[in-house]
Parts: sequence; structure tokens; C-alpha cells
Amino acid sequence: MSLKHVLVIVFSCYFVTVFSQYNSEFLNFDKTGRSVSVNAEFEMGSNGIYNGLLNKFIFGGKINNNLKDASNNKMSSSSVVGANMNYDISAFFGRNSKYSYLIGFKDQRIFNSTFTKDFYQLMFYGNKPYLNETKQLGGTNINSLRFQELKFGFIYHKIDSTAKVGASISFIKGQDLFYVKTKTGSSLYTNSDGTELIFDSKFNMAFSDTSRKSNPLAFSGIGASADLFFETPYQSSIGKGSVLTVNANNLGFIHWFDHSVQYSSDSVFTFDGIHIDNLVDLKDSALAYINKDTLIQKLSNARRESFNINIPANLLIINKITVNQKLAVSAGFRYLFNSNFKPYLFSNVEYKLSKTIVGDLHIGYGGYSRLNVGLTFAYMNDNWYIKIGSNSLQGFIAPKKTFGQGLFFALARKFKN
Amino acid sequence: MRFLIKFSLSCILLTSIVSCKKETSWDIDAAFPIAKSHLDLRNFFGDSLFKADNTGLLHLDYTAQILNLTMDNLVKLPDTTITIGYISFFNASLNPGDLIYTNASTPANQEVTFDVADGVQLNKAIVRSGYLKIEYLNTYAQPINFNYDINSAKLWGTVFHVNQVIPGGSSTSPSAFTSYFSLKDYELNLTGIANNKINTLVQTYSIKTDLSGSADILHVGEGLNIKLSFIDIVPEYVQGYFGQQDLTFGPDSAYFGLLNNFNTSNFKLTQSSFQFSIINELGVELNSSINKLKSIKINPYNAITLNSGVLLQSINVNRAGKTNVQSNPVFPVVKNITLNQSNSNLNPFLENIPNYLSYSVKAKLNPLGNISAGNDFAYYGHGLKVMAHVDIPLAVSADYFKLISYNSSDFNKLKQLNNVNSCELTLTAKNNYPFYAKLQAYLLDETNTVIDSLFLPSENKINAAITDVSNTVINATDTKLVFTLANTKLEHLKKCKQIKFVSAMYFSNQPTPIKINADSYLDLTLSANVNYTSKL
Repeated sequence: MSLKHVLVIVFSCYFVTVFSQYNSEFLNFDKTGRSVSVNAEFEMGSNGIYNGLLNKFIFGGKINNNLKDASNNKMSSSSVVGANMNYDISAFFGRNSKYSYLIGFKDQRIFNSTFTKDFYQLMFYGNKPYLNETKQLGGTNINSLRFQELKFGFIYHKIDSTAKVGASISFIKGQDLFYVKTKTGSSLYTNSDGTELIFDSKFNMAFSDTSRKSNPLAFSGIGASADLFFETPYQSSIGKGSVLTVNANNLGFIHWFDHSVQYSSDSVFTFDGIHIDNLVDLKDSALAYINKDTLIQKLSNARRESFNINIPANLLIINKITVNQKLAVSAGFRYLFNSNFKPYLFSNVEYKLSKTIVGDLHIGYGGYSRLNVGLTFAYMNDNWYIKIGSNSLQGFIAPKKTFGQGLFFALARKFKN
Repeated sequence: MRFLIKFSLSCILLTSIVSCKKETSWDIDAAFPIAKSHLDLRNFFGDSLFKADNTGLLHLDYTAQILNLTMDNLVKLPDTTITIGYISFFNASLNPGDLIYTNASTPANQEVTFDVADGVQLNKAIVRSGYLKIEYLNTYAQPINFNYDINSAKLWGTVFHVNQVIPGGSSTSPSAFTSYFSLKDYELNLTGIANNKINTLVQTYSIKTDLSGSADILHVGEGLNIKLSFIDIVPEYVQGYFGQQDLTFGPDSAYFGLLNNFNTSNFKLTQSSFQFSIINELGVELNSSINKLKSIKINPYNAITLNSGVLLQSINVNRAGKTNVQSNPVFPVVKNITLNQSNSNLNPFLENIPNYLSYSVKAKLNPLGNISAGNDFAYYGHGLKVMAHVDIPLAVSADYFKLISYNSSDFNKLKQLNNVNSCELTLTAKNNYPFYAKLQAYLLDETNTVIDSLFLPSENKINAAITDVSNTVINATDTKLVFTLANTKLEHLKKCKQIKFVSAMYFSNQPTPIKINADSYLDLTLSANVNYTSKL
């Protein structure tokens, strides 16, 4: 049974509510109040690579030529790909009627990249099909980041009786970083018979302590971040009322420790083979030279040192209009700073299916992918709040022809007031 | 609660599926160069073996040391022990500071003679290293003062001197201890008190009751016994008459591995020379002979004796001179004897391509006697050397040359090899040599068993350069060899622990000699087209 089938079953079994996957604990407070909750979010997309190929990176398997060709034929000269995955456990608590405290733990993985079509072709086809061609790599960048945070905050929920303001700060433990950025002019040329490679190596690269990258307890960096939340109702000429929500989170940085490594290169390397005095005397040292790590060290200027990087910050603006007791529509804007995320515009239609169940249709364009269509269901009673949904369902329905996919889940146990 | 359990189970199921995810993989086709080499013969045998003459013709130029006889083979100062002291024959009442015995008045007791072997008569030596060991045994009840000089041992003009107090003891419980004194850098005059002896040191000593003691009676049989030992004396310099020693070295053999990995058929030299250099760094005349010189090939065994008449017999070599420069004190005398194809059977001797030269060397020192009047000399580290210097112009004929080399190559270190699905290697060659070459690489496992070969025998030929009738190169030629490493071969490559490279160079238009010049070359470029599985 593939994960895709499981996801379909999960969708079928658990129908529930709204307000989607934007990596913020504050957004659900309106529904959960004081509660303890677990939340998990996953989104992945590209505006150049179909889900069918990206799924291979999630579920494994062989990427065949059909999958490669489909994306290759569709993508433009420069594309983006990105994925965010996070889960957290958090609690709003307190006894004061005007404000509540927040404490939480969250694990975040952030990956995003801009890449040229030439980069894609070299990566997935190799250089042999492109003999006597120069493949442009300039403008390609890859950012991969994993960290854990311990969050402390509050939400002031009785401003003018209905508005809310929330803020939190997080202490961050950096686990893993990989970053590479090629500059304009970076390219790889292969001559007509493959006996000469010319690598214009304008790039910077950095990664955290490689010996500990897969260890979730690895303490390779330290940092801090802040989340801000503001929500206010206002009167508008449309509908029975409007709510404006502004949320910004992951406003911070991570300082990576001394064992982190940085590479930089700004030279043109012509490689026509390892020069050996005697081909019939091929020593182990010559073989070691062929090793990819050795090649990187030869090509670049490696140094171990500490450095800081900014975390991709998430900005979300949503305007929600209540049409009647059952129907509400909203429009929003989302952007991730310090990433390859494109501005994302979206609209939601929220319909109250029963006293306890709300359904939400999501349509958006931009971000890491292109057109996104999603559904969310939320179930809510006096004790529980459960939400499951996706902003990018298309990736599960027609992976070979669509871009982007996502899934999110929240389960909250409300505290008795 | 039931809902929570359902949710938890779902999460566990999802996590399990994701964590059990298969490897992500895809195939790429990569084309890349692997290695490039500009080869000439120097790459096969080592740079230092070849020199070009004025015409550009390469010469094989090799020097081997056959004999190295240093000073310590000629002159040794043996460990020498003497016993001195005084044992009383009567009871004597002594006060502190009283003289018990001195050898100052008995010259016969002042000389110490080294028993130097082979009739070597030394009159002077400088010590490089060595010790004087003094063992004391005091049976007198009071402390005794021992005052000792080696009058003929001086360091920067100062006589070697020991002053030692030996605590009191008794006949039943003597006071005993041992001291060591370095003789490093002491200059020894070995001519005795009257400067008319050889191998002889002069020493004086006195034995007194020490001032720290008390008045006491020295009983019969009590006194001080001292054992003096000159041990491990290594001279820096010796001078004297070294005698008419007959020295014989060998029969022995010297490694002559200039062409150990070289195999040939019908190998013929057009010219060669073999120069023996007898280098005398000793201040002594020599008469020497080099005998029973053989060229020995190990596999298959073949030995050829060098016939050079009397050229290597009774060779008189004059004595070396002194430079008076401490860092390089000897001006050697070099005697060269050159053999070639006209005064010996040198060509067949060398065409045997020897691994070893066997020989015996005889040398007689001072064949004319003590004509230096005791001024023969030798310095540490210097002596008699015999060098063999070979010069072979590379204008040769042969059916082929075959070079064999072994290289340990653990391809398991190349983890990427596991992801190679197929590989096509291309060897591009530009050959400027007047011979064609066939390359083969045999893959050997850990038991040195051949498990595969890299090249197909029919597709491993690198064409010869275009030559005229005299085998002079007119133009280089290009050859492209393509060979596929199928799965089986790749598997064998992973198991391979050693590669045996065999490069065979075949001569055409034989027996016309071919000339190998300094600008001859073979350019090789190895590139690969690989279908490779990338994995994440």
C-alpha cells in the first residue's frame, strides 16, 4: 500500500475544518482557545517539476525517463522547488480572561531552490547528451535547513473585546544546513568527445557540521526567532462582518558553530584528466583524486568557520468576510522571505456543513508551485478541535500532470474554562 | 479517547511508511576525462636513468655502487683493560693526605698499549666516540683519593684528568663503584713516553689518603684496586702505518636493478660503455683487482662473465690527500677503467639485462711498504669505493620490449563504482615512437590470481609512428581504442587488489636499430562514458 493510498483513506475517514497550513500556532486560537495541540504540516511544490517526479524523493523509487522528460519539456529556463515540513506540540494556557500564554516545541525542515533548466538536465540526464554544449548554472541556489525551537509567547485576546494580538519568541537549536549558490556566468562545458570539461565555478557553498547532520540531537548552531500575530474584526460594506489577520513568523536567524564549512570558488577549471606521469603506474592516490569529495576540495577554497544565516520568514495576510451564518469567503497573500518562494495569492470559501463541521475550499496561485486547489475539514465541539486538509490536493490526484502538494493536520484538546 | 487512539495509530502507520521509504534513484549518462599522460621512457624507468646527448639521442645512464669499504674495516682500536692500584705488603700508619703510591717515578708503568690487529701501527688518533670505564675497589678503612691523568690524551690542549675520592671499606666489605668518562674528541698521541712507540698511551696517577678521612692503619692486603677499560673506541681520524694488508671482498653480488621490469627478445646494443671507478679516500697506496665479474639475470637465470683481459687487474691507486677542511677532509684519488665493446664482451654482458653483478675485489695496502713514514691516514666515513657506471646509447634493436609493473589498486575505495551500470572507456594515443605498443592490464585478486583483463587482445594496439627505412620517425600517429567494461568486468574490478600492467613495444624493420630520442613521446588520454545511477 503506497502512502498515497493511505492519505486518501485518512482523508475519507476524518472529515473536519478550516484555516490552513501557514506554520503558525496563533491562527487556530480562534477555534481552540486555551488548549494543548499537536500540529503537523507538509507542503512541497515546484513550478517546473511535476509532482510525479518529486514524489520519488518522498516515497523513493526509480525516476524513469518519462518522469524526467515530462518536467524537462514543461519547465522554463529558471524554476523553483521547495518544501516545508514541520510539526509541533504547543499549549495556550492561563487564567486571565484577557490574555493567554503560549509554550511549544517545534521541529522545522525548510528546503527551497531556484534552478536553471540546464542544471536540471545535468542533474537528471548527465552531461553526455550535451556534448559540445555549455550548460548554464548561474542563478541556481539550494537551501536546506533543519532546526528545532522552544517557543514562549502570549496572545492578548480581549482588545476592543474581539481583536487579538499575539507574539512569541523562540530559542533555536540548529541541526543541519546545506546551502549553495551559483553566480551569474557559472557553467559547465563538455567538449565534443568528453575528454575535456570546463567548469566556470562561481559558487558559494556552506554546510553545518557534516558529522552530525543526521542526528536530531545535533547542536550545530544556535539562534532565535519571533512570531507576531494580529487579528481584528472590522465593518465592511460586504457581508455581515470582516476580519483582517496578519501573521509573521520565523523572524530570526541561526548562528552556525565553528565546525561549519564554507566553500567558495571563482575560477575557471579545465579538467582534461588527472595528469599521471605513468598510466601503467596508477597508484591509489590517483584513484583517491577521482573521489568526489577530493574533487570539491581541489576545486574550492574550503574553510571551517562560524557564520549566521536568516531563517526564511513567513508573512501572511488574510481578509475574511462573513457572508452569512454558514458561508464565509476570504482572500489572502503569503510570502516567504529569504527563500525562493514566489508571492502566493489565494482565496478560501468556508461553509459550515453542520454545527460541528466546517468545510473549506482553497484556490491559490504562486508559491513554489503554480495553481493550487485544496480542501480542508474541521471538526469542533466543546472539548476537541480537529482539522485535516490540504492546500494542494492536485498533487495527490494527478501527480504526473500537476505541480505542488501539501497536507496538514491539527488536533487540539480544549481546556475547561 | 477512542478517537485519540485512532489518530495515534494513523500517525504511526504514516511514519512507518515514510521511514521505510525506498531509495530514490535515477540514471544519468556522464562523459568525462579520467587521466592524461605524456609519456617517454623516463616515465617507465625514472628520470635519473636517462640523459640526452648532443644529438638528442637518449642514453641510459646508471651508476651502481659495488663496494664501499670504510675506515673501520681497516683499523679498529680494540677494547683494552688494565689493572692498576696499590695493595699494601705491610701494616702502615697513615694520616690524612699521606701519599700511598704513584707511578710517576716508574715509566714502565706509565704506558698502555693497544693491541691493534693486522699489524697496523698507529701514532695518532682522534676519538669520535668511546669511554674510559674505571672500576674502584677500596679495602682500606679510610677514604682514598685517586688522581689520574692520560698525559697523551688532550682536548683543546687540556690533558684528560680524573680526581676521585673512594670511600673507605674493608677486606670483607670493600667500597666499590664504577665511573664512566667520555673520550669524545680527545686527540691521542700513541707514541709513548719517548715518542718512539706505536699504539701506546701514557698515563700517570697517584693514590693518597683523602683529607676527609682520619688517621688509621693500612693493614697488609688492604689498598685500592682500579680496573681501567677503554671501551667502544671509534676513531674519527687515525694516522700511522697501516701495514701491507691483503683485503678480500666477495665473492659477493651487488643489486643492479635498472631494468628489473624490463623484458625483451633479441635485444642488441649498438654501443655501450662500462666505467669502473675506484675511489680511494684513504691516505694509503693500494693495488687492487676486480675479479669474477658476472652479469646475472634471475628470471630466467643466465650469467655472463665479463671478459676484459687484464684491464681490471693490478690497478695501482695512489693515496688520498688531506684538504684540511673539517667538513670534507679528504681529497680522494679516483682511478677510472673504461670498458666497451672493443676491449671486452660488454655488449653481450649488458644485453643479458642483469639484475645483479657478482664480483670479488682484492686490494693490497701499501704495496711498496711504509713509504709514508707512518703518515698513512684514514677518516671516519671515508674509505675505498668501487662504482660501476653504465652508459648505453638507446640505438638498439630487438623484437620487442616488454615492461611489467604491479600496482596495488583497491577499487573498493571508489564507492561510486557500485553505481556504474555500464562503462565505455576510450584511450586516445598519439605515438611518436618508432614502435607500436600493445597494452594489457591484468586484474589480480588477493591471491594474485588473474581474474580478468581490461583490454581485448585484438583491440589494444597503439600504432607506431611513421618512420623511414632507417627507423627515423617522420610523423606521429593517432590511435583510438574503445573498450567496454561490462558488468562482469566491473565486478572483477571491484574484487581486484592489484593490477599487473604489461606494455609491449614491438619493433618493426629489424634488425635495423631504432633510435630513441629525448623528444620521443607517447601521449595517452583516457576518458569514460558512464551510465551511472544517482542515489539519494
